[in-house]
Amino acid sequence: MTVATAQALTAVGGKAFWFLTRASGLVSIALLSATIVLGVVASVGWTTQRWPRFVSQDVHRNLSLLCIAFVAVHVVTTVVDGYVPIGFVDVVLPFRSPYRPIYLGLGALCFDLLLAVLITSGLRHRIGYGSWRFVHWLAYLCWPIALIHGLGSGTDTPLPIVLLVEAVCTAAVLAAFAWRLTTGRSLPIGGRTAAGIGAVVAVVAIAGFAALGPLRPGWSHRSGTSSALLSQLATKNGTASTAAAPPTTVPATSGSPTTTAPSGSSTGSGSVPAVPFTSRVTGSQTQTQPDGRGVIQITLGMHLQDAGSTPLTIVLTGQESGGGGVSLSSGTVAYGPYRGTVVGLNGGTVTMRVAAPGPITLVANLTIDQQTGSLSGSVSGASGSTGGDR
Amino acid sequence: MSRARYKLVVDPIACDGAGVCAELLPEMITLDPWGFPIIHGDEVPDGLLELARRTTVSCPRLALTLVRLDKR
Repeated sequence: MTVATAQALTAVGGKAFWFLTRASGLVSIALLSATIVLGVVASVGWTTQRWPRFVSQDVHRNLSLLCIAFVAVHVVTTVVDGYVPIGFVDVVLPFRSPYRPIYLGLGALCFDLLLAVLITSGLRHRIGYGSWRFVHWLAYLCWPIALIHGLGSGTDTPLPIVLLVEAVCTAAVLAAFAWRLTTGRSLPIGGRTAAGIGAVVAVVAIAGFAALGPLRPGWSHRSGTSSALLSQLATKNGTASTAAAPPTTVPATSGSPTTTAPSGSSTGSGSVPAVPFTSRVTGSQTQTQPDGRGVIQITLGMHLQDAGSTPLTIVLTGQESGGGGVSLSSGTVAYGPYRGTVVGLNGGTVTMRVAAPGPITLVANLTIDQQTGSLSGSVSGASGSTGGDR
Repeated sequence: MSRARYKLVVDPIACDGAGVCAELLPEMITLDPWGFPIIHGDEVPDGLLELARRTTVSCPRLALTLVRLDKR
């Protein structure tokens, strides 16, 4: 009991940075949107008796600094968190991270642009008005990049509240941009028309990307698993499998992403613990090399510490994504003599539905040692198909 | 040794009449009918120096500067 409690606390503590990363990212895009809107208000010169122009300017500046602070939290927690292999170099050098290189790279690009805008604003008096304003225009470019970064790499992209925040931000920034284009007389009319059309096309393209990419079930599943377990599994190919049992123990893939259920071990067949139960488990993780189509199988083999030492084998099938990451698409389970499927994967927690022979739900909380490929944790079983903490 | 003395100078080419300076430093700056600043007085009094410095920073066109009066 105390061990389980300690493990639970460790799990929450270990995930605190991950939650902080996700939340600070969302807050950052909201603050960036507000900063842009206020920048436009100041730049257009809209004032009333009760809202003098310096108020727009100063709130714009202070909001931008607050935004930078949240971006700093977002970046530092992502790196410190360690679930995903992102180093401090990946923060500023885009498109080289092993984890989701494109969408993370856009975040790094946005970070660089923000730094450029921040530094030139601080040195405004030294570099002169023209240079400062040229760099300051990059802030407009920063916004859509940040949005795509959030949509493409955000774990929470499919959540209605997140989509609502992003929709409101988009509407506000588009309106502000239109206002700026219709009042800014310093640019030729042709350039302003092109910028306006470009902005509308960009927003439609981003909406289309969101609808076809992150919001389709496959992507949302991938996004949903991009925490502890997936990233633990998303090692450079072979690192874990060489240290663990040879990959020949894994059922061979015949080029098809649909896998056959793993065959249960002969030991302990026929007798599984009566539900509800919780048992500690130990075992090992193996991983196949990607086949011709980039399909990878990850096998988590373990034994319950019950009387019959019931074997539990989880086979996760996924597609190799760029840079050595794995996007898991399906999972099958062998539990003693019974079969089942993986219905949820969230961090180190795997939720499974098994017919044993009546429907039961198994929830495994696993920690995987990357160096040795050994895994440990606990498995709890409950009757019915709606249990589990996912 | 006395403190440095400053005056406010407007760059009439850069200024586009935003009027922020008159909002922030009405003690020394008023606007003409077209919204361009008129500086009142020459030397910035000691008590207004910090406010004047912040006003120059806030000018959206960087058209307002503090210039040393006693520069050698």
